[in-house]
Amino acid sequence: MKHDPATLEIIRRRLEGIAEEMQGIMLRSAVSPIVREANDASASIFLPDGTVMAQSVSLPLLLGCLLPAVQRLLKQFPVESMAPGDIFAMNDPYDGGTHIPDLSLMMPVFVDGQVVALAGTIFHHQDMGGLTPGSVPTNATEIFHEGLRLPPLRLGRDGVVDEQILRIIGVNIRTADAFEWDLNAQIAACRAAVTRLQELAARHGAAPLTAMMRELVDRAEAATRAAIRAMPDGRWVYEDALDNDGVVLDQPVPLRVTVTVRDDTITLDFTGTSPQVKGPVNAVPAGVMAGAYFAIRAVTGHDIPNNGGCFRPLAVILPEGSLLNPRAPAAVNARTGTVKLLTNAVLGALAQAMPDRIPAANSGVSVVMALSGRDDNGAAFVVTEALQGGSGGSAERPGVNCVSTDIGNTMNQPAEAMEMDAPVRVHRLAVRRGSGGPGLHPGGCGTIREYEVLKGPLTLTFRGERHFHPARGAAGGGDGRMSEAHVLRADGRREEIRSKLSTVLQTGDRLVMATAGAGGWGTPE
Amino acid sequence: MQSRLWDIGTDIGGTFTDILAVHTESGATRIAKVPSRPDAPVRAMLEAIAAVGLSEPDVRRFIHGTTRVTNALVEGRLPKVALISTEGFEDVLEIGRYRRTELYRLDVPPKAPPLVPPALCFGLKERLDHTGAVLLPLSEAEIARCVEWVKASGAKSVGICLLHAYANPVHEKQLMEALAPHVPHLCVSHEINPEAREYERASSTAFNAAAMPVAVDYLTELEEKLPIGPGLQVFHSAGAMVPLPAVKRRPLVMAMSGPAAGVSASARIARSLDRPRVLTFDMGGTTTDVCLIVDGVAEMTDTRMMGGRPLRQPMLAVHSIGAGGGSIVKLGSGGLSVGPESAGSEPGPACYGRGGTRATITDANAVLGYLDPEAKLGDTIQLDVAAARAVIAPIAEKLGMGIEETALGIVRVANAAMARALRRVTVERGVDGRDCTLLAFGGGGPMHAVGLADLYGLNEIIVPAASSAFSALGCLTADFSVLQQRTIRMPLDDFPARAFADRVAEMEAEASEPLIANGIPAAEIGMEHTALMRYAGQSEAIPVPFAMPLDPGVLHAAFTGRHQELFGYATAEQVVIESLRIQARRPSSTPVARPDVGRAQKPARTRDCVFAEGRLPTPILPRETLTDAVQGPVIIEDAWSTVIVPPGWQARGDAIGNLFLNRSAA
Repeated sequence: MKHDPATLEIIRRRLEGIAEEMQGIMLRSAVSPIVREANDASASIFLPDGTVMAQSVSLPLLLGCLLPAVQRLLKQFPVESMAPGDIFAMNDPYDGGTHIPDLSLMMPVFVDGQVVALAGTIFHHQDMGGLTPGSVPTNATEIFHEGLRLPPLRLGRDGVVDEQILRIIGVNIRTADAFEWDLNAQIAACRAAVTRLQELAARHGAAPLTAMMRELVDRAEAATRAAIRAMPDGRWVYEDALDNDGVVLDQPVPLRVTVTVRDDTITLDFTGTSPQVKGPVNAVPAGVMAGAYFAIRAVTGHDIPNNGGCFRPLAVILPEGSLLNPRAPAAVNARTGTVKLLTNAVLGALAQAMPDRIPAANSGVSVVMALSGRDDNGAAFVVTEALQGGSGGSAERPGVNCVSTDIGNTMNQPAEAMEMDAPVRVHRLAVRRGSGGPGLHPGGCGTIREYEVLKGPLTLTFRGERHFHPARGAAGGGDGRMSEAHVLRADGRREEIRSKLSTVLQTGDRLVMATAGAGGWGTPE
Repeated sequence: MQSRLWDIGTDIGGTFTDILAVHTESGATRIAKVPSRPDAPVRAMLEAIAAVGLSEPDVRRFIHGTTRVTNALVEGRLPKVALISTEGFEDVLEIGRYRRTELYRLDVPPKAPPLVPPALCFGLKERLDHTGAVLLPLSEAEIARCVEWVKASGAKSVGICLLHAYANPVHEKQLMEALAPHVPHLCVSHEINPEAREYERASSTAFNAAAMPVAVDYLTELEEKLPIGPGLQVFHSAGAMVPLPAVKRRPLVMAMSGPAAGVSASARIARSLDRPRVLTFDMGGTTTDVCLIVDGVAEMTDTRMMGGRPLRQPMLAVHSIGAGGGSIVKLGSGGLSVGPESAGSEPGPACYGRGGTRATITDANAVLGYLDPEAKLGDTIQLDVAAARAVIAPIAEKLGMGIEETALGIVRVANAAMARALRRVTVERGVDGRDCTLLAFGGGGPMHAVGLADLYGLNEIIVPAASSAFSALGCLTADFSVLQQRTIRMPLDDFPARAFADRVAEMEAEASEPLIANGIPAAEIGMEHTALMRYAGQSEAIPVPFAMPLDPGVLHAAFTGRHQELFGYATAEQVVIESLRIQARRPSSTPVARPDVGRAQKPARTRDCVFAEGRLPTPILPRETLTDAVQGPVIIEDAWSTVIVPPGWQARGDAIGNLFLNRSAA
C-alpha cells in the first residue's frame, strides 16, 4: 500500500461525484425524450491511457461501450496530439462503436500542459438517419441502412464544434436541431469534468493524483482476482437463443458460451454461437464486452471499487464472423437483446458452479419501441420507449416486478409526458401478474403496456425478445412466461408480432405489449 | 394578570425533543432538551414545556417541526389507504420508473412496497388529455360504482390521482364531492401536487393520504392539550409556518419539517449578518443535512426520495446523507468508509458503553480527545474512551497504523462524505462553494466544521447562538407562509398574458387564504413569484423569480442567463414556463435574544487532544464566558455542544452568542 486509505477513499468518491455531476448535466439539459425521460446516456472518467477510473450510476451497457470507444479515439489521437478544448467523437460500430445512435464524445483534461485524465460521455441520440426514424430499423440488413457512421473524429477545437462536420451530420439525419442540442449537453458534461478534475489536481498535485488513481485501479484488480480465486475452478456451458434476427422471422439464433474459471482468471468463449445473421441483432465486440464487464462486476462483488482494474482478469473469445463479432457490413442496430442474452448466459453458466449465489435468469428483454411521424407543423418527431420485464428469483428472495436489470437501467416514459410528445394515448400500464416463473422464490413479473394512435400515420419499430424462448428458472424453479405483443387495427384485425416488427400505424390502431417474466428459483413448496 | 407571554419553538427529533422559549416582551430565551416519546408525542411536548419552566397558560404561540408522521410511513406503519386512478393505471405505484440505483448487484434489491397494495387500487373509467380536454366523461354510474367500492374496501383514507388532473381537476373534484361523506380522510392529486408525470404525482398523493389519519389524530390531540387557537402552528418543508387546518389536509408538508426549520433559522442569520452565500451543516446521530442559502434565501427543490418512494412538492433543497456521529466505520477493498449503516441510539457508539462493538465516527472523536470524558451525555451516558480505542484498534492493526492516526483518518473520511454533500448542493445550482460561509449546528456540526472547511476550501465558519436547538429556534423566527405550485405550460413566444395573469391571481388567492383564515390581515401578506422554465424540448425546469406585471422579455433574459450559469450554454430555442410557484408570506413577530442554556457551565481546563499536527494540550473553554478571540487549538463547550478549533484556526464570539471561526493570520 502506497497511499493512506482515507485519502484514497476520498479521491475515489470525488471521482465518482464528478461522473455523477456529468450525468446530471446531460440528463437535465437534454431534449430527446429517450434521454430526458428514459436516461439513456452515461458518463465516465478515464486515465490518459484509457483505463476507466469512475463511472456514473447509469446504464452498464453504455458504460461498457464507452471503454472501447475511448481506446479507439486514443489510438487515432494520441494524448501527445491533443490540445486543451479538443472535442473527440465517434459512433462507427465497425471501428470501436456499438450502434449508430450511441455517440461517444471525449475531452482531455490538461494540467500544466499535460493530459492527466479524459472525460467521456456516451449518449443515445434520437435519430442518426437510416431506414427508419430513430435509427433502429428492425428490418435492416446492412450497416448502411442504419444511419450515418462517424469514424473517430476531432469534432471540435477550443470547445467549439466544427461547423462543417455539423452540417454534414445535419443533412443526414431527421432531427438535426435535437442532435445539436443534445451534443451541447454532452460537451457541457465533459467541460464540467475538465474544470472539476483541474481543481482536484490543483489540490493534490497532478502527479500524486495520477499515482493514487493508478493505485485504485491496482486495488480493484487485486480485489477482483481474490474474488475469482474464491470461486470453484471449472468449466461450464450455457446455451440460449434469440427469437429471430428481425428479418428471417422463423429461425431462432443460437448463442453458446463456455465459461472457464481458473485460479484468478475468467475466460468467456463464445465458440458455438450462431454465425452472423442477416437482420440487425448482431452485436459488435464493444457491446459484447459491456455484457462481459457487467457479468464479472456482478459475480465478483458489487462493493469492489468500480474501475478498469476489475476487467483485467477477464479474457473473451469471439469467433470472427459470428453473431458477436460480425464482419462489415452486417446490420447491428438491435444489439441490446443480444447483449442481454449473452450476459444472462454467462451468469447462467456460473450459476451451475454457484447455484446459491446467482439468481435465476432475468426476463432478458428490453423491448425497444420507437414511434415517429410529423407534427402539425411538419416537424419530425421520434419517441422511444424501452419496456422492461422483471428480475430472477434468488436463493434469498423473489424477483422484482417491472424493473431494469443487468446491462440496462433506463426509465419508462410517463403517459403524461408521452402524450405531450406524440399523438398517442396510453391506455394501460400494468404488472403482468403471474408471468414470473414459479419457484420457492418466484421470478419477477413483466409489464403490460397498450397505446392507441390518435393521429396516423406513425412509423413503428418494435424490437422484442423472449417471444419464443423463456427466461429459465434455476435450482428447481420454473421458467418465466414468454413475451407477447400484437397490433389491433382500427378495423378489428389482430396482427401478432413475432418478436420484431417495422410497420405503419394508422389513426385508431392499437399496440399491445406484454414483456416476459423472469425465472423462478428453487422448487415451489 | 399576565399570561400567554411566551412563544415556543420545538423540534421533535428521533432521540431528543429540543425546545426554545422566548418571552415576547423581554426577549428572554430558554433552551432545554428532553427525550422524545415516539409513542406519546404530545406528552413529550408538554414535558418539554415544563422543562423550560412553563405550562400551557403561558404559551402564546407554539410552533413545532416534526418528521414523525412521514417517519411512520417510511418505517412501514401504514394505515389502510386506497388509491383511485384512471382505469388502466391501477399499478402505477408498483411499477414506478423501472430504474435501480445499484448497478452491479446480481439479486436486484426489492423496491419499496407500494404505499397502497394492489387490492386497494381502483381504476376509474374517465379520461382527459394533456391539454385538460375531456376525452371520456366521468359518469354518475361510474361515480356510484366507485363510492360502493370505497365503502366496501374498509379504507380509512383515500387518495385520488387521475391522469392529467394537473391540467384540469374537473373529474377529481366530482369524485371528491361524492366520496367525502363515505370516508374519513380524502385527498386529491390536483391539490397535493398539480404537476405532470403520473407516477410521481400518484406517489405524493398516496403519501399524503397515508399520512392523514396519523396526522389528524395527532394534531387534534395537540389542539386539545394546547388550546391556543391560531397560535398553534406547524413548520413545513418549504421553510415556513402553516396553520393546523391546512396541515390536516396536506400533512405531506411536514415531511422535512425539522431540517427545514434549521435551514430557515440559518437564512435569517445569513440575512442579518449579511453573508451572501451560506452552506448549512446540520450533523446529527444518523444523518447530516446540508442546504445552500443564496442572498438570504434557501434553495428549493421539487422532489426527494423518502423510503425509496418519490415525494414531489416544493421543499427546501435540504440534501440528507446517511452519515452522522453514529455511522459505522468499515475497512473494505477500496479503503476506509463510513455509513450509511448506523449504530443508532441503541446500542450507539462503543464509547457510550451500551454494548456497541463497531467503530463509529463518535468513537474516533472520543479517541482524539474531542469529547469530555467526564461529561454525561443526556444525563445518563458516561463516556468510555477505552471502549472507543478497543473498537478502533483492529482497524488500525489491519492498516498498520496507530490508533490515533486511524481515528484522524476516520474523521477525514467522514468529512469527505460531508464535503460531497456540500458539493452536490452547490454544483447543481451553479455556485462555487468555496465562496460560502459554513453555518454549523446540530450535535456534530460544530465538531466537524473546521475539518470540513479545510477539506472543501471554506474560509469562514459560524456556529450560531442556540446551535444545539437551532431547528427549534428556526420554528420561531421563520416567516408565516403558504406555497402553491402548479403546471401551466405556457410558451414565452405568443405569450398568453391574460391567461397567465388570471392564473397568478388564482394561485395568489389560494396561497393567502389559509393565512387570512388564521387572522393575518391581507395587507400584511407579501407575494413571491417564481416561474419554473425550460427550453421547449427539455423536461427539467429551472426556477426564475419574476415580478408582476410580467415582462416576458425580462423573464426570457433572466432564464437565458441562468441556463448559461448552470449548463454553460444557451440557444435560440423556444422557452416554456412549465410551472408557477407562488408563495404568500408574513414575517415572524417573535424577538430573539441570547439564549440561557439553563445549566451551570464547567470552568476552563486543559486536556490532551490529537490533531493532524500531533497530540497537543488543549484549553477547554466555556462558551458563555468567551469574549476575546482565542487561537486554536482550543475546544469551546456549552451544555449541549462542542466546538473544535484546531491549530491554525481562531474563534471569537459576538454579543448575541454567535461564534465566528477563521484561519489564524500566518
